[in-house]
Amino acid sequence: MGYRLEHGGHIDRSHPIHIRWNGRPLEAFAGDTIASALLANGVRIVARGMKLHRPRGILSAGIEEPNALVTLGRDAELEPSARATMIPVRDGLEVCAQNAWPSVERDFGRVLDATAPLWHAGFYNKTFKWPSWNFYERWIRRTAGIANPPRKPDPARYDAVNSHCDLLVVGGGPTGLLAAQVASRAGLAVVIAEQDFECGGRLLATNTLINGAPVAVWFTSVLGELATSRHFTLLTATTAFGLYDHGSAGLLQRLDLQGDAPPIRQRYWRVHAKQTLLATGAIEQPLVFDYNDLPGVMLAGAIRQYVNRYAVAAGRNIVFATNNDSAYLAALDLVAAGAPVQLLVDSRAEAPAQLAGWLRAQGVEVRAGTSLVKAIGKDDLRAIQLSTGEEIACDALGMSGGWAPTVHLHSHARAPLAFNEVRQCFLPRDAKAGLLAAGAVAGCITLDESFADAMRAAERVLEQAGRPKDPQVARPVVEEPPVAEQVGAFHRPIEGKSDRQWLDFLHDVTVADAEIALSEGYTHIEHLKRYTTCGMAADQGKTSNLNALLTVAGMTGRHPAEVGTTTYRPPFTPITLGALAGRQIGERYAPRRLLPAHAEHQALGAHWWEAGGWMRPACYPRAGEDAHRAVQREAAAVRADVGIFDASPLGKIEVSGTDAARFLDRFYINNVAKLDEGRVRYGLMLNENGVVIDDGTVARLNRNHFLVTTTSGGAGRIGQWLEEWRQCEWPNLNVFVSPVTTQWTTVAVAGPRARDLLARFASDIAIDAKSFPHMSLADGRFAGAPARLYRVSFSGELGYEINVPARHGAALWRELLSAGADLGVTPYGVETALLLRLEKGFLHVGVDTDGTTAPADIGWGEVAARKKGDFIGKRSLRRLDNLRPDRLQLVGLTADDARILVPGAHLRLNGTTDGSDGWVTSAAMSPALGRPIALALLRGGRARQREQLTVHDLDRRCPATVVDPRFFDPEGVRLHA
Amino acid sequence: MREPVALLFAQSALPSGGRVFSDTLRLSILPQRSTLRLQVAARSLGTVNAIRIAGRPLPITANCWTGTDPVISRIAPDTWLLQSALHDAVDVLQAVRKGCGRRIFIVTDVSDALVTLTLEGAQSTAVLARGCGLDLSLTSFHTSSCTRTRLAQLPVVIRRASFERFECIVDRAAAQYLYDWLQDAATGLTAA
Repeated sequence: MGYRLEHGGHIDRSHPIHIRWNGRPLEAFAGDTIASALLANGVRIVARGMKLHRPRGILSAGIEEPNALVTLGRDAELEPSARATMIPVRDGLEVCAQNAWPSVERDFGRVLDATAPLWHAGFYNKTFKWPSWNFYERWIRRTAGIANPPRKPDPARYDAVNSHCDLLVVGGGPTGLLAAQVASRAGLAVVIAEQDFECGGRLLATNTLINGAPVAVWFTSVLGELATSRHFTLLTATTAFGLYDHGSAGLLQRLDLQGDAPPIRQRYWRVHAKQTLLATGAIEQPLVFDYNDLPGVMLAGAIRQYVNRYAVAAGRNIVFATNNDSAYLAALDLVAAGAPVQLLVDSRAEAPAQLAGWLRAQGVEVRAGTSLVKAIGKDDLRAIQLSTGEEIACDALGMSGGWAPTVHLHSHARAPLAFNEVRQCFLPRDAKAGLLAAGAVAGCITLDESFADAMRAAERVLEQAGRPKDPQVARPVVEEPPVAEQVGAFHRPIEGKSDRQWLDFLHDVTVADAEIALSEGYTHIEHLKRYTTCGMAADQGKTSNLNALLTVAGMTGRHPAEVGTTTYRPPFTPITLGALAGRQIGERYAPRRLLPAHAEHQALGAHWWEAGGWMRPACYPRAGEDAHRAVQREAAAVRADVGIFDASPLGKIEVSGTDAARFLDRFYINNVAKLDEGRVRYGLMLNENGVVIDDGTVARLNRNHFLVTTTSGGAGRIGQWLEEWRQCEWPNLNVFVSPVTTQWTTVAVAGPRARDLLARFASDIAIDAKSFPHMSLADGRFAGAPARLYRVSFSGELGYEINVPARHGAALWRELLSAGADLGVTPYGVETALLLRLEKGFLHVGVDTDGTTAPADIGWGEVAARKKGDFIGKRSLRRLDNLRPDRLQLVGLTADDARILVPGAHLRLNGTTDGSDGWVTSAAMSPALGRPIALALLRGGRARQREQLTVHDLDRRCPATVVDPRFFDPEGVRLHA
Repeated sequence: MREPVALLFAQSALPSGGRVFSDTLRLSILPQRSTLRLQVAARSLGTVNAIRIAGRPLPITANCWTGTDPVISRIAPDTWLLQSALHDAVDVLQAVRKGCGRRIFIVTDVSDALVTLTLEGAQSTAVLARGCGLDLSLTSFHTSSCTRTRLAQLPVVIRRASFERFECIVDRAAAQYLYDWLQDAATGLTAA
């Protein structure tokens, strides 16, 4: 059982801190992590394995921790699955174990361990079939996962920021700090991202001397110098979770670790670096043996770190098992700190002479050529069994299976890896432009090697940055014990119980699972990963991937390089959705565009509708009205008197130049080049596949000046479409494209009394029927403002669109309402406008068309065929598929039941027993006709006038009749009033 | 018989004004300015350096601006934005027509389509960094710089008007959203 040593560590013993663990008060000190505090207080079991609910203890001291995932806080501040090894303690911190009931010490889920053979790899593909999955689903969902999410909205604020630098250094250990110091002295802008809450890396776990002084002196000196630079940024508690194209990196900074409720909880940094140096170190790997998951079994380097950094001994009778030299250093440090170390077993044939001699001199037994086969204990470690058969009593085991460089970010950048036989791990191979690796991640064993590597990397950085290569920094002098590079071969006890030899502690994946996967044909490492879920847990295989790979290599007789690694993808560690969202939540989730008369609509009680980023009034309910009634009333008012509609989002594009007519003619299926001045034409645009992409009007102001209108949602898209063709395909045409959508307010005035209303405004534009027929445009002044007046109609009534500069938009709206009060003027919204156009059978592109709709499908086939000139999409209209008679074609429908005749309802022709012959695209209750009407895309629809069919909406159905879609005023009499 | 409505009141997208967050940060809304978009045909671009608008040459270096009134910003290879606080759009238009002469060009009045927000102070770059991926530091974006980019997911033109002053020119419909966004970012920065 762990305990606090009386001296040593980097903790502040003058600053005690109190936390609660599962409701129980624990004492810690400033500088402790939750994990070191738990160990110091003798806590052995901190979690339960995900699948079998076996007891789990702390394995490591860093970000690779797979076991000690705990829940912090409560209610809205609840944070599940926090790594206890990475969270510093603070007063009042509440920490709870996860995935256990009623307690982590006595978990009912342990029964799953008793039936472990049922839950091997891929069991869910082979079980839960009878009587059906749903029978088991509720229970499985309850037991799945390892933590509960917060149920209340997160009150915290998150931030996101872009940053630019010459050099991003990932890792604030000795390698990263030295390289940063060199770069900073040369005048480069440097950012260091360090995942721990203090810099130091592995040096925080050692007692190495640098330049004859403790490491803390060197750190203070370097960090102090860096802090004086205006172009240096140090980010601690910041994990680089992803490396992306063009030198971009994603970093997650935690600001909530030190105190309570900071203004910003986490910050997402998007760093754009000209060069990136990975100084990410290496992660120690576990050994594989029977029951290697028992609490008390830890990584040797972690035990060393707990002693040196936190003054915590992992147990009172500690043993080590290793295949490399680093465990010797751990044992020596423990002995020096007064922690009881009994034995070190080394699987290599010979122990390192000097290190073994030092240990023996301290009374620690060293056995070479001996390996560990089993850990013994029910709920925690009590003894180990060696390959000799001997059992050794102990309560803590430090195991070391070598060190795997943390190459994840290197792989994010698609840079290659190579297997190193001596180190038995994968190292970064060639550097990519702008990406370097140095230190332990590049294969360095000793600190001296890492410093040399840091200097080399820094010189390359300077060279790339066009600075003199002279580093101006002396390489530090290190005093450290000799450590050999050679790592013993990976092995596991073949005679042991493979179903009790863990590869992935978090996902409960054993060697037996790998055997099953291989026997079932999943021999590729990517398949084996997914079949067993090894390496897919929240720790992303940091302590399991390599062992799994080496296990598979051994089982299949392949070289590890041949087996290969799985693909490392971002994020390196879990990141919160809050950080990714940053400030873009609530009202700022996405840009909202407001109409010039927004306040006026608000004052009228508009029901708002967000469409294409615009906030638009859907309708204006009066007291006692719901939206449906309001729409019905507004539509009736437009048909009877006059209505006004804010159409400002309508796309408006000016096209001018001596080739403007020729240019536009290439976009529309109908002829626009011969349009007279002052006239307007409705047109359809296609893409190269002949599919309808937008509709709108083209108006000719003068010989070389046209105004194009598009759908509101198409304004930006069509403007770019026109520009792309102008710049890329027809750069020799003399034409300019100038979007002016928001320069103008557009108000539609529609209804039998529309002309009467307009006549109440001073204007130099004649609006009588003869001077201003349907589909006309005039330029002039309206109520003292410059204006463009259209006579067009989307409602089917006598209609105008008044365009004035947007600064007059609010006033225009108010004056129209005021001037038309006695005419019964009614404001109407988007829902009403869509209902009115539906009654006329007018198209709504994107709703009544889909990604296959061609002109002939909506009745415009002959128009397109008649046009002699070429236009975009023309050639595609001759494709055989466009000529099929059974294409989906636009028709009108009438039925009796408005509840079933709804958009999305499917259609079946008589005689069809399954499948769908089309669907309803638009539908509404028509106030003008007093019955439900709809538009639909129906297979071979144009030849099916008067046919009966059935409408299906979920499990309801009703009969309907195919009709001409021009439901109301088909002759257009009202339009031409 | 009623008198016809002869005059429509003019109203800006956002009321002029702003907010002071600290000694090092201030957010303002500029009063509406005359703004014209000048597009010059490709075949006339070769003589653009000879064009003078109110005696000022058009900036021909990419992403640069010149002038005090009108301020002339080059925002695309063939497009300039002219802004004037002192002159009507009609007057600026006349000056442009005179300056461009017989070259092939088009001028569009976009005075109502755009709103200008300004950020001033030592922390202005830090605020913009929260919504813009470009390097807006003085070394990369000097005092003659302007650019089209995205800020808070919106297409904008950013102009560095002086050492610690940025102008963000945005579509009027989105001006309120951008103002609220900048306000939130500035508040978070000064609070953190």
